[in-house]
Amino acid sequence: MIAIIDYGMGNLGSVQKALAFLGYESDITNDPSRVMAADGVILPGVGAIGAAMEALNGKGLDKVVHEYIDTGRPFLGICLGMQMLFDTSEESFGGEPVQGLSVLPGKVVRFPADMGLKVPQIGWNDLSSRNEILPQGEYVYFVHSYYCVPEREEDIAATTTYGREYCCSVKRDNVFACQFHPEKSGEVGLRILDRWARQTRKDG
Amino acid sequence: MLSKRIIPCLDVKNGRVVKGTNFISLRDAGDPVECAKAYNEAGADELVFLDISATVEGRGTVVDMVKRVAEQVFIPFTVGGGIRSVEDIREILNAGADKISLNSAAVKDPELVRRASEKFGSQCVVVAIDVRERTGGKIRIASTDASFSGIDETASEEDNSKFPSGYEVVVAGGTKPTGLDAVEWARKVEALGAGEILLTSLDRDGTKSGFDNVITRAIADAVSIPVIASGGAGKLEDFYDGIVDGGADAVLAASLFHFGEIQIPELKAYLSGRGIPVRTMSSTLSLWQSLKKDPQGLVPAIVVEDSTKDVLMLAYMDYEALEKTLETKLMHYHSRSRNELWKKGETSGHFQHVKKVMLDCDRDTLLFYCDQDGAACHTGNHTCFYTEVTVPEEKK
Repeated sequence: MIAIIDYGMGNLGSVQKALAFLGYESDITNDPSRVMAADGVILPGVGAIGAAMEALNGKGLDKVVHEYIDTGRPFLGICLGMQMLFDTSEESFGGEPVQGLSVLPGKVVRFPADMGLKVPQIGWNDLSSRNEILPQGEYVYFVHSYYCVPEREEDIAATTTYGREYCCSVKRDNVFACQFHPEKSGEVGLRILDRWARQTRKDG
Repeated sequence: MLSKRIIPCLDVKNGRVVKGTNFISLRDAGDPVECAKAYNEAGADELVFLDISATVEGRGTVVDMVKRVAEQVFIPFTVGGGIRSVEDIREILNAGADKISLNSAAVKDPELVRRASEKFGSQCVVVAIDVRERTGGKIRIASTDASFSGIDETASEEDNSKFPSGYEVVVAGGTKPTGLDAVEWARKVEALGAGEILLTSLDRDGTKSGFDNVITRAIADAVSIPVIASGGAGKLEDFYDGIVDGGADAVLAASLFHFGEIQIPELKAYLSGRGIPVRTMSSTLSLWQSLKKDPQGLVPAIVVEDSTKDVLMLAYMDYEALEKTLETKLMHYHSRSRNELWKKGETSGHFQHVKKVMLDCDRDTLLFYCDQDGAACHTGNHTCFYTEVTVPEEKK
């Protein structure tokens, strides 16, 4: 069973539907015991990181995420769920920079305003993969205005280019995260999700 | 690099896909889920469903359609038509749509754009803007006769300075002018929180004379959110011009794709050839996507010895097995008993070297012609099919 963490924001249904299409059962939940009992956990999210962190912390789910990751079982952060793993985001919330979960060292910054880029980046961009986790050169679907800058180069699993080359996926031990939406990236995305979710099958 | 998106639009009435020329003459053309799957396989980057149902019952079918599409198709899709309130939006998004589009409801109540983007995020709020060019102080108007689109001589002689862009926003399929300048309205909806603009020229819609690249460029330059050009595409160059001259981030068409006059792969190859970045997929992924899988998500693979044409065995493949097989030219399978990738010959040394691959007419089986090292069967037999079954004699 895969737990999709529900902190009251974002469309969690598409992640669940993609998993169901691939034959994986999942549970949209904010119950800490269900998260801790899961074979895999997904932290999804769209919207503003400040409100998302507040919602997560308010439900005590920040501690649950840390505790779950400490078990060594597979963890996947998607979009905002990737950004939340870092130390801070320059996306302001009540005038203050937002404190993230600090699962990975690094920060979250906004696409520069002076490059003539349309922000948010909306659409399909291609992956420059640094290992075998993500398919080289395939296109995946992005919707975001901020991106992650990991402190450790070795945490970067893939980059893409929008105005500049930036990190769009990280992998560190059991923690995997992507800025793009695998659940909306067609066949490529389904294969990425399947590959991750396969680890949650106890017999496999 | 961020690719330019190709978006087919499906008009939906009472849960069925239809398409009209200039929104008026309609022709039934199928199930929304099947259409969506077909477009996904053809390489559409996104889909737009426009509900044109006139009745409450018709509208009721939309949520069900959205749910069914969301269970089967995993590319972004937008739903528009008849969305009036935050409650309508919530219902459509909860059913699985990624974005909603607001058209006349936004003109009537601009604050709806703000409420929607604050509630659900700008990324899911598309504002559809229908425009007509103003000619000599008057606006071209639609007629109920689809073939006619002329200038309304009875329209009020409004000062053109009210429309600095020269284009006016219209609603109700182009029958109602709004008094809003197209570029000013685009700026306003961006400020209200719209995440994208879907711009349709009703002068061009259905004419196949190309997008109106003048107004597309004016709006694309005026806002910092993506602009989808729509209305008028008739040939391959029109899409190129919409992107290059119009500055569109995405291009949309309906009947052109729907009736197969232009195929999406053909359009993508054309644009790519002219230096426009478009999304492509590896041939192995495209093949896998087009295959019919069994309930376990696997595809049967029959192996035939290339030299003797003996049928050697049957096993199953998942994507990883197919990918490895095509990459290494050595047969790989998915072991259903061990639930893992299985490279044939890895322990026995009885490798199978791929010579040719064929596809079943129903796309549900793959046939591999191979050179077999040693025996194919784990029992040591040349083929796994070494046991003859007694066929009962026919009773007279």
